[in-house]
Amino acid sequence: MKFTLTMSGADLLLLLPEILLTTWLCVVLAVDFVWPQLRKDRLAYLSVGGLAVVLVTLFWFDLAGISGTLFKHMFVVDRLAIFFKILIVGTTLLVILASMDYVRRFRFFRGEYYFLVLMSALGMMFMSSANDLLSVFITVEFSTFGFYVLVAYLRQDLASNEAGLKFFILGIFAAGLLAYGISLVYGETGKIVFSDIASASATPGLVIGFLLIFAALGFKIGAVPFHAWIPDTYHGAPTPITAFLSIAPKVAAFAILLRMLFVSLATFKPAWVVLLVAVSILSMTYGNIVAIAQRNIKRLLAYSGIAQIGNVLIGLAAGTKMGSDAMLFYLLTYLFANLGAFAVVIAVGNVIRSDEIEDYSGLNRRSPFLAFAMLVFLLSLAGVPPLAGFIGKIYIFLAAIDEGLYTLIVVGLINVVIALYYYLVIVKKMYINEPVDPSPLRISGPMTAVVYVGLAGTIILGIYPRPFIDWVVGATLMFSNLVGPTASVLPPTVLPFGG
Amino acid sequence: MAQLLFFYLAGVIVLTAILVVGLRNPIYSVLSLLIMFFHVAGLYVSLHAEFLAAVQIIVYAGAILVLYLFVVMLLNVKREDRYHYQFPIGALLGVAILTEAVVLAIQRGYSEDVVPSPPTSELSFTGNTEAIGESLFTTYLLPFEIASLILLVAMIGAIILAKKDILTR
Amino acid sequence: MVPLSYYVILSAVVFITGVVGVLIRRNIIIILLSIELMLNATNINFVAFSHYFQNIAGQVFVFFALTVAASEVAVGLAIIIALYRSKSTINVDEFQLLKW
Repeated sequence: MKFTLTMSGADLLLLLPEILLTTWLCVVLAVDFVWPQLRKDRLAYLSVGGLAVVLVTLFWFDLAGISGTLFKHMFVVDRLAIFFKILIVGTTLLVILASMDYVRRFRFFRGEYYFLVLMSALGMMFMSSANDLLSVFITVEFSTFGFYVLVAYLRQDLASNEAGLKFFILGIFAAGLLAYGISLVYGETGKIVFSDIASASATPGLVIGFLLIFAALGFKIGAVPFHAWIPDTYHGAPTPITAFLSIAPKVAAFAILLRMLFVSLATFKPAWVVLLVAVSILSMTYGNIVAIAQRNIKRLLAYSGIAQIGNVLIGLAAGTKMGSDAMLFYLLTYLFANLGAFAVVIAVGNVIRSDEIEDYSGLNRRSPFLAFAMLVFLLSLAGVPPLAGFIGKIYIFLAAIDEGLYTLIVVGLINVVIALYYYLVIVKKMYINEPVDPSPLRISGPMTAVVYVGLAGTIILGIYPRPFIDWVVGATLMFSNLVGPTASVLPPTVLPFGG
Repeated sequence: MAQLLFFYLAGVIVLTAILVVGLRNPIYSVLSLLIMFFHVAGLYVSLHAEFLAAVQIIVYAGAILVLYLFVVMLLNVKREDRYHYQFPIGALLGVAILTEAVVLAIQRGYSEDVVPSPPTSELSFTGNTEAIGESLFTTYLLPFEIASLILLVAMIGAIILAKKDILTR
Repeated sequence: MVPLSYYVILSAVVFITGVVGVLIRRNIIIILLSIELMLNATNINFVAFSHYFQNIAGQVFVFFALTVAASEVAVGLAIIIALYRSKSTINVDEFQLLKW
C-alpha cells in the first residue's frame, strides 16, 4: 500500500497562517498547564502576540499575492480568503484584549478561555478557505464547537448556561440541516467541490439541498427567519464572547455564502436574488422594530445586529462584483463599529455589573471618553456622515441601484431612520439624563486600546476610505468575469510570488 | 432476496426511529436508537460499506449511546408526561414535508438500480477500508486533521463544562 | 437489486422523524437523540449515493459526520450536566429566564 500524497514546501506555505495559529494555541494550552501560577494576563498577551504574528503573515500573503489551491481544490487561498482571514484574526485579537478584565469573573479554567477563543478563530480561518461542501461542513462545525463552550462559560450564572443550551440545540439542528442538504446536493451531482457543481441543472433534490444549506448558513449569520437563538445567546453569553459572536462567525459564513452563490450557483442568480431580497427586507425590518423595545443593551445590539446583517445581504443580493465589494467594505465598517460598541459595553459592565440601558444614564459625567466613543460607534452603525457606516451604506445602496433593486433600497432607507431613533435614545440617556451614581468609571489599559482602535477604524474608514475600497476591490477581482454562467474562478495551482 | 433484506432493515429503522421520538421514557428511547444503529450498520454492509458499518457500531453504539445512557441514569430523569404544545403543528408539518419528499423522490425516480456498470474507481479492486484510508490520507488530509482539532475542542470543552467546581466546594 | 429511490425515501423518513422530534419533544436528551436521527439519515443518503456513483467521497463524509456527532454528544451532555447542577431539570420549557 503506498500513499501518493504530493505536497511540496510551497504547498505547505499556503497553510502557513493556520499552521502558525495551531502551533500557537497548543503553546498557550501547554504554558497554562505546566505553569498554573502564571498570571492569566500574561497568557492573554501571549495569545495576542501569536495572533499578531499570524496577522503579519496574512498581510504579507496579501501584498505578495500568494495564492493557490490545495487538496484538489478543497482548500483555496486567494485575496478573498486572505481578506476574510485578516478580518477574523483582527477581531480575535481585539476580543482577547477586551476580555482581559472580564476573565476574572470566571471562577476557574481562565487559561482555557484563551485557548478556546484561538481555536474558534482557527476554525473560522479554515471556513474562509473552504471550497467544497465537505470542508464547509467540517469547518463550520469546528468553529462552532468552541463557541458552544464559550457561551456557557459563566457556569455559576444560570443565564449563561441557558444561553449555551439554546445556542447548542439550534446550532446542532442547523448542523443536521447542513449535512442533509449537502447529502442531497451530492446525490444530485456526485460532486462536492464548488466549481464542479456549477454545471448542475435545477432538479428538485438540488434545490431542496441548497435551501437546507442556506437555512443552516442563515442560522450562522442570524438572518430572519433563522434568528431565534440570537437575542438569548447574546444576552446570556459573557460579553466579550457576545462581541466575538456578533462579528467573526458571520464574517466567515459570508465567505462561504459568497463562494457558493457566485461560483456554484452563478447560473441560478435570478432565483437566489429573490430569496436574498426577501431575507434582507425581513431581517432589516424585524431587527430594527424589535430593537426599539429593548431595555438591555446587549439585546439591543443583538437586534441591531440582525438588522445590520440585513444590510450586508443587500450587497449579496445585488449579485455583482460591485455588490460583493460593497459587502466586504460594509463588513469592515461593521467590525469596527460593533466591536467598539461592545468594548464600551464590556468596560461599563465591568464596573457597574449591569447591561441595562437605564444604567447608562449620565455616562458622559462618569466617563466622557466612553460616552464619546459610544456616540461615535452608534452613529456609525446608524450610518451618519462622516463616519465609516455612512460610506458603507452608500456603497451598498449604490450597488443595489445598479441592479435596479429599488424596493430593497426604499426599505433600507426607512430602516436607517428607525435605527437612528433607537441609537439616539441611548445617546440621549448618556448625555442628557443625570447619573444615579456620579463616581467616575475606571477603565484598564487594554480596554482603552480596543476602544481607540475602534474609534480610529470608524473615523478613518469614514474620512479616507480610498485605500480600503481599493483593498476590497482587489479582493474580489476573481468575480469580475461574473457574466458568463460557468465563470472559472479558481486561480491556477501555482505560487506567483510578488505578483 | 436483496429487496427482502432491504425491506426488513428499512422497516425496523423507520419503526425504531418513530419509537425514539415517541416513547416517553428516555431510557427506552436510547435503547430503540441502539436497535436502529445496528440495522443502519446492516444497511451499510448491504451497500458494501463494511468499514462504515464497523465504525457505526463501534462509535455510535459503543461510545455515543453509552454516554447517553450514562447521563440519563446520572440525572435520573423522570418520565415527562406531556408533549410540547407545538405537537399538532409539528406533526402536521412533518407529514406534509414527508409526503412531498416521497412524491419528489418517486418523480425524480432514481429508478436506475444501485450497482451500475463495472466500477472504475479504486473502490472495488482494493478493499473498502483500504480505499477509505487512502483517500483520508491524501485528498481528504486537511479535513482529517481538522477533525482531530474538533475532538480536542470537544474534549477540553466537555471537561470545562462538566467538571465539578473545585474552588467552591 | 434495490433502486436508489428506496434509500432516499428511507433517509427522508428518518430525517423528518428527527426534525419532528426536535420540534415536539421537551426533554433535552430526546431532542439530542432526534438530532442523531437526522445525522443518521444523512449518513444513509451518503452511503447510498456513494455506492451509486462508485465514488468514495460520500463514505468519507460519513466518517466526518461521525466525528462531529461524537464531539457534539460530548459537549451537549456536558452542557446538560452543568445545567442540571444549577437547575435540577432538563425540560426545555422550564428555562424561561431568557425570554424568546
